[in-house]
Amino acid sequence: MIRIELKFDKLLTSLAGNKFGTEVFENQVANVKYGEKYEIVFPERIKYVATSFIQGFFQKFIECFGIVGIEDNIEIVSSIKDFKKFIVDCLV
Amino acid sequence: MEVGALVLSIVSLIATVLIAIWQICITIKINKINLNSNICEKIFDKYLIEDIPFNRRKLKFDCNEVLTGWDSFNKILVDMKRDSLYFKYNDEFFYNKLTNCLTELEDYITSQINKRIDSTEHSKIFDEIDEKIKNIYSIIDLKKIKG
Repeated sequence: MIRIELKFDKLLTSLAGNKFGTEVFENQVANVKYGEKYEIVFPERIKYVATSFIQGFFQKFIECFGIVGIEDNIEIVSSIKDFKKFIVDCLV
Repeated sequence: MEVGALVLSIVSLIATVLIAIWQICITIKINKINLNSNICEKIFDKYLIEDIPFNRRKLKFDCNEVLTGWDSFNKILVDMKRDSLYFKYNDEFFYNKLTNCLTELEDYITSQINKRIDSTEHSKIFDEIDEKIKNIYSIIDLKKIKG
């Protein structure tokens, strides 16, 4: 499993923006390999992630795994309750 | 005389056919408006009449000048976006316009959370939120009227 610990400015407690999500993906993940499983770790201080950020960040994951595949191949570590379900709902 | 009568009947026949076609088109258009209006009501009425106004009232700044009530408000915007998926396949232009406005409002509220915001800025932030809410209402109202 590939573990990706996302890093953000210390002052950020929420994430928004499709473009920002894409940039974070490109700078901190770069590419997605089919057949690999991923664990994505959001800093504990992040309390909300807007749908726009999720759509930008996970775009390449959808292209690689499909929406259903995201549930099987990606684990999310976050202080946000039911965050993985929220992500999948946002991507439908 | 006979040729004149024949021409007159042909013109009259063409006019009748054109009026009939026009009436069918109008009927189809009205049916489409009614159908979309009913679907809009079914999907959005609860959000527009209850959820948004009720949860908008819960958005406020606490004694630390931090925005509260944003979580339930953002949840409504996300739910509304999900529930409007029908239009992705029925009227993509409307779907994109509406979801862009919902996203814009969610992003704006998200950019204000967990921040200490000076009290002089509060009304400006609420005005901006209200403006974006009005935009959402007018997009849905227009869809109900135009079909």
